[in-house]
Amino acid sequence: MAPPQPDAPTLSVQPSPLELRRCSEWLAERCQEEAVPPGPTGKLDLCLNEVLANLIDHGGAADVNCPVDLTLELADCGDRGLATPTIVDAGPAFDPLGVSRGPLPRTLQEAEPGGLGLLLVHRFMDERSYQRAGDRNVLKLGIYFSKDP
Amino acid sequence: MQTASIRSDDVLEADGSIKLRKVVLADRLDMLGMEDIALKLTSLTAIKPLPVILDLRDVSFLASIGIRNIISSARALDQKGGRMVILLGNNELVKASA
Repeated sequence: MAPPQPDAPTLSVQPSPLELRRCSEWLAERCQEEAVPPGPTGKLDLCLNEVLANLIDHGGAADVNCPVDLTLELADCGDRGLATPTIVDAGPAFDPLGVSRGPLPRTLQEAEPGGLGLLLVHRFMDERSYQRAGDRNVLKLGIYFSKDP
Repeated sequence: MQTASIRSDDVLEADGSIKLRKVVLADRLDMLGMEDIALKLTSLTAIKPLPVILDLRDVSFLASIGIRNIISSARALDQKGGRMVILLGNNELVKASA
């Protein structure tokens, strides 16, 4: 996994619910600057929110009180663009992409109210990768978007 | 950035009992938004065995914590003998999330 480009926009946030909003505002501004359409921007916002919420709830990042670093890279892929957020945290090693998912529930009674966030990440992101780099978790996501208005 | 909001309207029978309850959620149902409205959502939708319409058409952002709360309320309502119908409208992101 290639590290983010050094000049890519970066934001450091504390793993807390209040910071999720700041992350969303930062992402919306960056995507608007780079002409990422509203649809993919909304999916990026949702997935970043889910990953950060997962870190707050389960990842241990809140316990070590270290900031989570977010980077957003944009790449030109011909007639499409690729938006790639990278999320780096110093919590215990945890690969969110390795969490096994059961079949989708068919009834309300089968529906378990948990594990939905990572399901949304799998559903909305075109690219997903994880690696442990030193004492940090590095999660890279990606979504393609049309450059035509 | 607007946080979540919740309001409700009841349709009453002639004797004053509740025939139907409509609960409208709006704006951003993320972690902070759900902290604001979760208790009210539960009290409006999961306590009495009513027919409930949950209107999500004005929701701009539906995180998994919001889906989780809705599922929990719907299950509790179902166990009490009520039913919940969800209105999604044309919000593509909310439809895809739900």
